[in-house]
Amino acid sequence: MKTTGFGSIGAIPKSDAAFKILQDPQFENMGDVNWKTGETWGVLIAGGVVGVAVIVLFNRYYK
Amino acid sequence: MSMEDGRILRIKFKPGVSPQKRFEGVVRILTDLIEDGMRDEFVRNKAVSIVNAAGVVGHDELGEIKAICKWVQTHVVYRKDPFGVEFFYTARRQLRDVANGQSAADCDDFVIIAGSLLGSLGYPVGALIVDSNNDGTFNHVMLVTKTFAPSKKFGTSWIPCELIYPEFEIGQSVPISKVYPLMANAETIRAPIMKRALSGIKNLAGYHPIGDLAGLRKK
Repeated sequence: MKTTGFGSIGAIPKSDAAFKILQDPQFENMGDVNWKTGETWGVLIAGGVVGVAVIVLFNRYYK
Repeated sequence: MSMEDGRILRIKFKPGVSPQKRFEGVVRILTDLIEDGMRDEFVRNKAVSIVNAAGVVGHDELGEIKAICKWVQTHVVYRKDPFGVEFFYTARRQLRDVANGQSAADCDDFVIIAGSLLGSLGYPVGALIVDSNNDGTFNHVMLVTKTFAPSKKFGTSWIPCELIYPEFEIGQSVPISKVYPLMANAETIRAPIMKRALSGIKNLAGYHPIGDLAGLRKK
């Protein structure tokens, strides 16, 4: 571990810990759509429900 | 202040919100602001001028990332937020503050400006929350990005970038034990967060995860 100084706050240790953690395969596809999360399915299902509701209501009141 | 000048978003947390919950909420706002910044032509023009001034040749992806990170490290000034309040500066506002000698940003603002500049040049970017005290408690945020073509040093791995210390090279961090990444979506089609905020921060925040943390959830 290397260190670097910043005036009054003293030595700040340098490390490659974050880079090493990011080598884990779970971080490989960060940013891609993750089909395993509840958030993804929540957004999709909620969007579908709202879409169907809008169509049903539109047809009911404007036909 | 007009929208052209950029804006500041201020979030006050209700008492008792844990540091971990705060940081999880903060990165959500943060990645929204990165997405807004990377779509801003003013930010893109500044990013191009930075890499050109650094003498980075075309296709030198690592050179561009290094140049942007170094510029942010050496031009943006680190100042803590007031106690109990989180300020978020848009990338445009921060660039203006740097030009006027009024830069004052904390770690999340550093990530907003660097992420916006790199994102505007086409790089995938995100916020990487870490436990900078190496104690398992999230308390700091770094930038994470990557090149498309493999580089000698990093391959195509994600590269963490510590922005608040000018002497840190890309890939370096303080010793940490865990990370929590949240990526910015370059293809987002939502309205910029500050435009939504014009209709009232309470209305905006009430529907955002951080709004819940801040006690602004609409009843």
